Amino acid sequence: MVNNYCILGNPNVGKTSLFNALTGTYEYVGNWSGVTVEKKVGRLKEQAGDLVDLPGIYELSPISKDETVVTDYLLNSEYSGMINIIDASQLKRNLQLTVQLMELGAPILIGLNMIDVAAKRGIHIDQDALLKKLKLPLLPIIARNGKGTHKLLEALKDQDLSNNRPLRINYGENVEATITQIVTLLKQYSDFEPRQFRFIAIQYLLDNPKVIELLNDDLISRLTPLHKQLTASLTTTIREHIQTKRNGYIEDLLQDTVVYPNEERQYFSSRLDKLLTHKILGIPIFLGIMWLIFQITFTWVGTPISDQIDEFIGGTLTYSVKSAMEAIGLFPFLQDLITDGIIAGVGAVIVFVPQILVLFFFISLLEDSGYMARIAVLMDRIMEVFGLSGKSFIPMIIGFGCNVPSIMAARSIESEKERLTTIIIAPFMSCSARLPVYALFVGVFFAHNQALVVLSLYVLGIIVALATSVVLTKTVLKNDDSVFIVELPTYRLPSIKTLWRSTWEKGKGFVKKAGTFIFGGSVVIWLLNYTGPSGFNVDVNDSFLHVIGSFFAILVAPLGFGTWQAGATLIPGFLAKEVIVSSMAIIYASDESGLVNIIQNQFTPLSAYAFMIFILLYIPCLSTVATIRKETYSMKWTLLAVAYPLVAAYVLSFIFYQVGHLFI
Amino acid sequence: MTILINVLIILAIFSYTVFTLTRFLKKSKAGKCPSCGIKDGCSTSKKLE
Repeated sequence: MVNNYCILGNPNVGKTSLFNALTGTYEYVGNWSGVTVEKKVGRLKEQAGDLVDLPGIYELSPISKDETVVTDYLLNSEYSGMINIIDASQLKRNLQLTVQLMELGAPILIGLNMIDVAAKRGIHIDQDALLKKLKLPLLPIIARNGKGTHKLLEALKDQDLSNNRPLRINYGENVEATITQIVTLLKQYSDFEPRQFRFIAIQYLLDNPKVIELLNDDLISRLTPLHKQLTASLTTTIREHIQTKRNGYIEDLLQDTVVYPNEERQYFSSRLDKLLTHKILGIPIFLGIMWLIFQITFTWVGTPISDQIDEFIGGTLTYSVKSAMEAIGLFPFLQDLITDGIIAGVGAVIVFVPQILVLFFFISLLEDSGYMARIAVLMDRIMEVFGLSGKSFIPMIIGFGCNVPSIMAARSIESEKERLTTIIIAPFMSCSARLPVYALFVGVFFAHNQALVVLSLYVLGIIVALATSVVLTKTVLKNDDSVFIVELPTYRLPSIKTLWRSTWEKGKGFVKKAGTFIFGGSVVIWLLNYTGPSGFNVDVNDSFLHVIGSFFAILVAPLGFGTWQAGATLIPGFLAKEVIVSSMAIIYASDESGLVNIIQNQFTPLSAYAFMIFILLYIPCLSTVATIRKETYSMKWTLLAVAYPLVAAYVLSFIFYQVGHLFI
Repeated sequence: MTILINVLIILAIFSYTVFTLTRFLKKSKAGKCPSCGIKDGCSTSKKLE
């Protein structure tokens, strides 16, 4: 029989890092809550069985959609054991879930993670004493770099794991009496395993909807009076009462086993937080950091490397390929296809790989250091004004990489209305595919202020997203109040391994796409440029692409970029935004004066910025639209997600260009 | 011989084009996991529907 294990724990304690270390696969890792939104299955190393990575939870009573996945799994699946991973630096909070899992009584093993962080903060944990008090296997690990995970794997195979008994906390006379009565009823009227009776009884008293789902109507009608009777007899709610007792148990566990440091040392993090999450200074500091990142990406590091690659592709590579093709005697049309179509089209995207890698490196750094979680908290205050919570900001940040996972990440939002709002606004976040367009245009028109211009576009995306959420929450999606609770992760120096993996995973997709879809797209665009109603090798002004582009050019003329070339990029841009730059390169490749010179002639700084606004907002790409369809289960919402950005892009570019035109 | 090389290269380029474009469209339309950039390292898609 295959052994199945699962990883459980609070949000952001390193479950996914441990999952990766134990299975040798790679999943998206970030230093904030809500990265895992549905369960993932991997194969354990050393053929130890299968491992399920579950989303992070604080409580077994589910509140949000992803939390139901956990409770559902625990109650309805068969598994050989649970790995409860707890953050050593935040033991008190983490043990809340552990206590609930211990009450379930399934085989459990505790992974004490981030012992390095705890030690740095001066928290001393007597692991042996804690182990004795818990009466459970407890293993120290550092999931980020894989330390201790081998021992954990060994411990999983240990037969003793299955011998622990459900934890019994004395909840006081009244509650215990009710639990006994419920257990008697469960014995008579349900078919749960006897060891689960007490757990089910407690969860029933805590109104766990997943547990209530498992009880039949007859049983519920017998249990309801007991529930009411207990509520009446207590001075606080049942939940508060149980919580207090559990806290007492946890405090008893930690007494003599954990020593906390003197205050000064412990509060370095919170002193830094005072500055970074300051009410007034927080956002300017964040914008300053983002500006610095863009400055490094575009001015200091990324662009100089890009220029080198561009020179190589446009010069050495193109000439060598050309002379080789001539030597072989390839048809002229084939030579054109390869140089003006494939090399120009794919090359135009490849040259921007350095910028993308640099940008992702820094975004990964912000995520993994714990700073991004602070920004989510900071944004929570602002987003409240816009009818959202900080929870929506996490999917939005993920959207800077790619909009598809950002829409998936919206699952961690418990309020359905807020989730829908987030799905609609997430595509306004400027994803990596749009970066080549900015890089090309800022290089030509705003060489001295590249970072500032790109930053302005990212900020514009956020502003449009927030404005949209106001419109939505004031009209169709009047919001229920949802509470954003995020435990701030400790600041930590990210490991080079995680940073590199995170950067490469994001950049790899981009490179891969260049070799596949962009290649194919380039060939098709070149063909449309090469052929026309009158046959092959036509003048560009008689080509099919000219016909298509001219149609769109009329529509976008009031926005300042009414050339057929710009118009022709919009349709392929819907399939994948990277193709916009490829298309331009192919269209202009036949012209001797080069891409940069032609762009300079056809655009002004004003129309170039209007074009970038339009590209930023105009329509989510095909993959994103398909994902929205799947996640909303609604054609109506999908149509809105396509039509609304198109209108918003048109209106904003129009206003920007026409108003700007009055002054320039 | 030259013609043969030309024909082979044309065939290679166009068949690869058709292959990449159809695969891309199919994947994109599927949404969710299939269109995700990091799905290669993720075994969820194989195990879960």
